[in-house]
Amino acid sequence: MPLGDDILFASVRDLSEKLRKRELSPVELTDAYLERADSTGAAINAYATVTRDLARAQAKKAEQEISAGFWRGPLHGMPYAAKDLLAVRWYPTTWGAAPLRAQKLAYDATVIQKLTDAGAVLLGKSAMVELAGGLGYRFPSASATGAAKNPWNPSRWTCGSSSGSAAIVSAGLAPFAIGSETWGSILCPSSHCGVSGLRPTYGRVSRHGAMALSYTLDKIGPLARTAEDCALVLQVLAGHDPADEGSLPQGEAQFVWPPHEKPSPSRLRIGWVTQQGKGGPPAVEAACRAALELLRKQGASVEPVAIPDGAWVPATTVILYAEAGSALRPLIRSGQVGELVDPAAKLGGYLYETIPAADFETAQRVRLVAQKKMDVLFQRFDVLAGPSVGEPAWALDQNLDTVADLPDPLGALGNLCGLPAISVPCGFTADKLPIGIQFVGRALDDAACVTTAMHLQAATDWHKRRPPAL
Amino acid sequence: MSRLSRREFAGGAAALIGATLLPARVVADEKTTPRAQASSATPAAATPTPPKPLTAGQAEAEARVQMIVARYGARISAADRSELVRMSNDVQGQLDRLRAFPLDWDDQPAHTFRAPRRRR
Repeated sequence: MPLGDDILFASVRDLSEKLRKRELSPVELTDAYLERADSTGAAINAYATVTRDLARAQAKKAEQEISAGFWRGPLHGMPYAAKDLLAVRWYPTTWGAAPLRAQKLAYDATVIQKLTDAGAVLLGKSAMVELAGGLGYRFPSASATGAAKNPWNPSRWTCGSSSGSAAIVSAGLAPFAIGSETWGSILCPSSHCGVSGLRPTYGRVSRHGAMALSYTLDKIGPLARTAEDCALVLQVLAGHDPADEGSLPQGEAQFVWPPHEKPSPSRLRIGWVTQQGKGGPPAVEAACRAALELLRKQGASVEPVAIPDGAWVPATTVILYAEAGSALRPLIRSGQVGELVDPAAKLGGYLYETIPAADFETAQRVRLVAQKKMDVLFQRFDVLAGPSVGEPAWALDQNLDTVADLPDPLGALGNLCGLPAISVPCGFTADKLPIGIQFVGRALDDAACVTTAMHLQAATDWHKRRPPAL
Repeated sequence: MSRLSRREFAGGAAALIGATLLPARVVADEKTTPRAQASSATPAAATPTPPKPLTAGQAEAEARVQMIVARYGARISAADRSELVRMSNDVQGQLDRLRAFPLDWDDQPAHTFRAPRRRR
């Protein structure tokens, strides 16, 4: 009997329990998701590559181990997808870019290796914006595989650059997926697709084997159905890796879940960032305020706060330009950027190479000022909150330069300072498009973001809603 | 990437409607010329108005495009050049804002990335 939606849309936690008790077969579960990848996945452009043979082999191995009483942990036998910027040995790793269609690497990225060691089952490489949007883009179609379609409304985009990862979780094609964020690439797709997405503290998850876009801004993190699922995955991903120069020492990089002390809602201090998404559709702010009101009713303190002014956006921009100009220089110099899809991406790299060194240095100095200011702010708050994105999902043919230009200080500062953040669903627009709220924490307080989101998800069912049949 | 961030750092994201086909200075010269020709019947218009001097930021934005053309000229079409002018102006806005931020001489860079935490 084929597995139904109640299974395919179940959380990592629930599936794990069934797998452990042998009420569910990893092979059967994997086959069900693979079948769905061919139908729904293809319809929404969610996958760049389906790793069918690898998935079946990993699922079979997991089944044998679990049957023999060997239990690796909560991801044992758990299917997942990984953004196509992560190396998977001898499978295409295209970075979403047409000129790299034939690229195959001879090793697994550290996060892939860790997930393999945990017994997880790789279903495929998820579609993404070309070069993770690193050279700029203007249209949702900026990908070698075309625009990923939003499961909630296929005429809308998923947002980027972890487009396929969000679409896959949202459409019930896998219980979790791996994405990456340089500036918004986990939080925005999570918000627009109605899933939970966690951007870990910078340095907590190794980038070894991941496409480099910006060495001091890139982070890798999970997208899943619930905040708790994100934590379960992060626990596996986190840890020091000598192959990544940005990796934190093990004592800081490791993520222990559940935390020794789980803060009760009555001790939570939440700062509502008044500038975030200001001027967007009223439904977005209203949904976020309603979510905070639920937390307040559980005993949390919620206080409006203004983010300190500063050149945070220009500093983040300049760092990203300069680092992308260096990291992607082989593509720029060779002229391969001319094969990219988006008109902005074809030219952006030429401009990035011209960023003066003195300005890059100035941006790094501004970054330290920002980090210190944020650390002071977090004396008063456990988490800062605001809309994940000021607007719901944009149309597939939208010129992204023409959408409203809403303030995003949490996005700029959160990424500039390497702070953790989570986006979780908190409602829908009248058009039935998901709305997300984000919680940003102090450096290394990823657990505060997760537990705050868990308190919200304990009181709501937004994260349990499923998109209409595709 | 969020929409704002994309706009901020995507280079070509800040669209200036009404594309030019040449770098800003050249365009400024060309805009002057037809206007002068059209009104050449009047004595006052007989002397063409000299182009306005570029601000430092405009000059820098233009120099950036010229550097790209010098380096990659064979790949850069007229339409690309126009696009680069727009993108360069956007970058200039970011650089100007960054440079205006007050820093003390002992504000050091965050080269060795760390995540500062104070004791509570």
